[in-house]
Amino acid sequence: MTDPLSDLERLALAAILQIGPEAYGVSIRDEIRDRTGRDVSIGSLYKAIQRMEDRGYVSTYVGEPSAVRGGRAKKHVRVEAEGRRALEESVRALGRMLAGLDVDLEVT
Amino acid sequence: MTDPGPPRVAIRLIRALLPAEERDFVLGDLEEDFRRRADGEGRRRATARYLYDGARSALSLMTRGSREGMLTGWGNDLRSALRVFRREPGFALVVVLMLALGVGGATAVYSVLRGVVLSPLELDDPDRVVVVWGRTPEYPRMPLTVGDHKALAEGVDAFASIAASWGNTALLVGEGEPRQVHVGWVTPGYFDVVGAEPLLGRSLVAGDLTAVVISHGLWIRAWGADPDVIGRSLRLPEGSFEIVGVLPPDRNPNLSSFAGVRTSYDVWRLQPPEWLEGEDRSVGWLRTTARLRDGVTLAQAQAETDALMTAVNRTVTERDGGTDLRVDLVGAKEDLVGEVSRTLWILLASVVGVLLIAASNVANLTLARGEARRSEMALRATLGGSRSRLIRQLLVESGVLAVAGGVSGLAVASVGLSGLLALAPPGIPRMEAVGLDWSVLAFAMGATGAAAVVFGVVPALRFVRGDLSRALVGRRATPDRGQRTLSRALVVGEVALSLTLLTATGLLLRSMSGLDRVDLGLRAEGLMTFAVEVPEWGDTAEDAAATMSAFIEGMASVPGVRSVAFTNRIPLGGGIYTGTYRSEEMVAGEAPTLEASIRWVTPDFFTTFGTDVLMGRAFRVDDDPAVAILDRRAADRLWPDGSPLGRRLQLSAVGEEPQWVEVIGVVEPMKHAGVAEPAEETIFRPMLTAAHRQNFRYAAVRVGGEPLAYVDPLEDAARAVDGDAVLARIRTMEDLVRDDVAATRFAGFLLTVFGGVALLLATVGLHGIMAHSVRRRTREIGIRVALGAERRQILRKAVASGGVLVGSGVVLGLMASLGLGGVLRSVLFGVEPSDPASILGACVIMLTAGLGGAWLPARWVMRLDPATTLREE
Repeated sequence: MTDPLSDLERLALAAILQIGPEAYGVSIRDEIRDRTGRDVSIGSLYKAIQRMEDRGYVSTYVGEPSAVRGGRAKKHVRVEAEGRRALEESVRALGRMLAGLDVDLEVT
Repeated sequence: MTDPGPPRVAIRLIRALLPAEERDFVLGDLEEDFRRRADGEGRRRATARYLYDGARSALSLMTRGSREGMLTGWGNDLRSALRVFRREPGFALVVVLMLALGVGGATAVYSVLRGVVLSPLELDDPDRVVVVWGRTPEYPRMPLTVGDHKALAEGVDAFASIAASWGNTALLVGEGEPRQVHVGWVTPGYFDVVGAEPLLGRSLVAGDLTAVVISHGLWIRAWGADPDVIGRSLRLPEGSFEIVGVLPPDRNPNLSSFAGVRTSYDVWRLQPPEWLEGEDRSVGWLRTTARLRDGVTLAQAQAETDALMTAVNRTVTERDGGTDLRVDLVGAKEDLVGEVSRTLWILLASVVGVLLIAASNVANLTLARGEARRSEMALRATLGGSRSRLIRQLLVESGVLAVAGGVSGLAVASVGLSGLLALAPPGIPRMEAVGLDWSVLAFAMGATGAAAVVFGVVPALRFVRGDLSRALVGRRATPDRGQRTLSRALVVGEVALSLTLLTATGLLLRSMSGLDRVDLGLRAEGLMTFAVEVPEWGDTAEDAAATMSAFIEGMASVPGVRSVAFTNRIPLGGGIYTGTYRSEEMVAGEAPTLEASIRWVTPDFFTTFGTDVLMGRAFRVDDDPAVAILDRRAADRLWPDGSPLGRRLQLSAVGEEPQWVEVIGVVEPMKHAGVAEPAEETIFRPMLTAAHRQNFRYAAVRVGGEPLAYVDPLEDAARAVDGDAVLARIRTMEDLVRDDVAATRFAGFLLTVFGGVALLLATVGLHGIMAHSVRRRTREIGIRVALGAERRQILRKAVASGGVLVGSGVVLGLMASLGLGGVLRSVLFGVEPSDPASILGACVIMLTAGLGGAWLPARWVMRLDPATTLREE
């Protein structure tokens, strides 16, 4: 049984999967904004990532520093198998809740 | 890089707000975003966005709770903090012991201070009660004359009420065994003035000459707390009195004290109105007490009194103590405990110093231990423990240690307090009010809290500012400079505090030995004194003289008794009885009168007390009041050159017309008011021929061996003269002397203990920090030794670095001692606060102990084999 995901965690997980290896703070934030129009702060994103890291849903690793970041490294994020399962579980739960409702949604 | 990043100020601001673990990543992200925006929207908007995003991020990282969960965290912290007792029992024990010692000592002394000085008097609205004293250049505290008391009673509007009191003793007969009782003589309204209304019955009102009010204690002792005692009669030698009131318990309406002793009167009577008739100003004997009107301040009342006295003095031509009498209004509590409060504050300051030293030691231990745990902390931080979380754990750990120390401290305080109460000299007033109560508990908590701030928060703050990643990389790295400076500063502070305490201790010890060497003008060993109370001494001079002579003969015949004398006041035994005197020459020249203590004595008085007769002779049985003996001080005052023998002087005492007396002898001065007080000029008068008009009759008996062994035989001898005779207030002269200097001894003893503990703690602290620093550098020293450095040289260097700490502490302590010395002046005797011997002695002790503390650990490393030290981590 996996811990249920919060809204932000679900968005972040999906964004990381969309981006792939280049997933880190700014790119995840951009992905969420571009796809949903939501403006989340970098800080709350990191908080969500910390929480998911504690539960083994994602792992992080430190990348190379770059000039555009003022010589600072990126913190890359990767979704683990456990995280993918949690996302699927979460979406399925939502689907079951919505089944039969007159809502124009298509959930896989 | 041509493209500039966000403004530096913005970066710094955000950087400061972000928690360390995500700081760099977030800053990187923000900066990346900034550059993108700067290209499109311009730097200004990008900067605004940077600040907005940064602040938002910092906020969510700070407030969204620890990733490990804030709520469950506390429980975990507590558990892990409690584990410290199992994991490091030595560390925990030392910390708890040091805190217990510091907190316990401070709490015990505080509880005495609170009971004696801080808590209000046990009377109604006691802050409005003032004790009224006369002051002349020679006598800072003088009872008032009848004339002056009346002038104040009639002329000062600031007083809501005013009353006078006076005391003596009497024999209570008719309720079982005869017993001596202390009688307080008051004017009407006295109990209203001091704020102690009777528990049963009523107060004394004008005209109540055959009524008495009794104390709660006498009510219990003599009437078994019988509620129907009101209306019953009480028998004194003069007759029968009706009991009209019983005073409440724990309230002593007597506000006047002498030499720290505040008599508890058993029976209260109204002063006969004729006592206060007329305008007599020849002798001050009234203890005046007044209650201020509501809304009038002490300063206002004092100003009004000053103005009145200036006017009164203009009309006075002759008065005891001179025509220029000033009158001081002293708050009742200040009057009672003012002197002892200084000593207690000094003691509290000293013991708080000890607490500070203990807390500094614990802080140093925590710092050293924190350093040893840096790698652990760094590792945990890397593994995801947030910094605030780690700091919180450190604080919880300190808190647990502080609570353990505080609770143990309370135990130490309760033991220490019983010790203090057992050791406390009899002269400390209100000791019965001392105990552990809520306010003392609050003090203990405050003291513990303050100590915890020193030893818990300070190291935690160091931790906040330290860079953990460095600790992880360089595991053998020396601690950062800031931390070393902090622990060295703590040790310097400890040394300075200890030196200050040691100096104070030295001064007190010198005062004590000074008091031991004081010439009392008498030989105390083998001497016993007591009051003799009988129902009737005899109405005429002849009868009273015969009674007194019979007692002297009877007691002198007890085997082992060497000599017996009577007097009206026992040296160091309290009481003031003064009169004025002038030589014949001074009367002729109309010079103002002088003031002297007057003592009535029987012929063997000087033999019994071992006081030398310097000129002339002692009294004989048949000497009448027309002759007198002077002490050397009074003789020198009147006739600085030439023999006083055969000269005449005019003398007047309470209720007497001035009288001419001839000097027949001169004796060495005797101490009366206190060992540390100057001997008062004294005029001795022959008691036997005036035995019928004495208020007090004390016997002094010189014996071979232990005086108290003679109490029973002496009492038998007295009963043989009068079956109702009672020996009361039995004291050996050695006890009187010991009690008189007890306050100084008490302070000296406690300061010695505090100074010793401070020295020990500071030395331990210094030893700890030196051992720590040497051990940390074991490897470095090993390398140096392996490379051929002289061990001696290394040792010298190590000791020198400790010496710098001790030296700085000593210099600071010296400055503090010299600066604060004046505070001590009031408790010192025969020694200046800047006494070089005390200061030098304290410095030598501190330097020796301190350098020893630095030398030992250095020597320990020197003994090690270089190969071993090199392997040392």
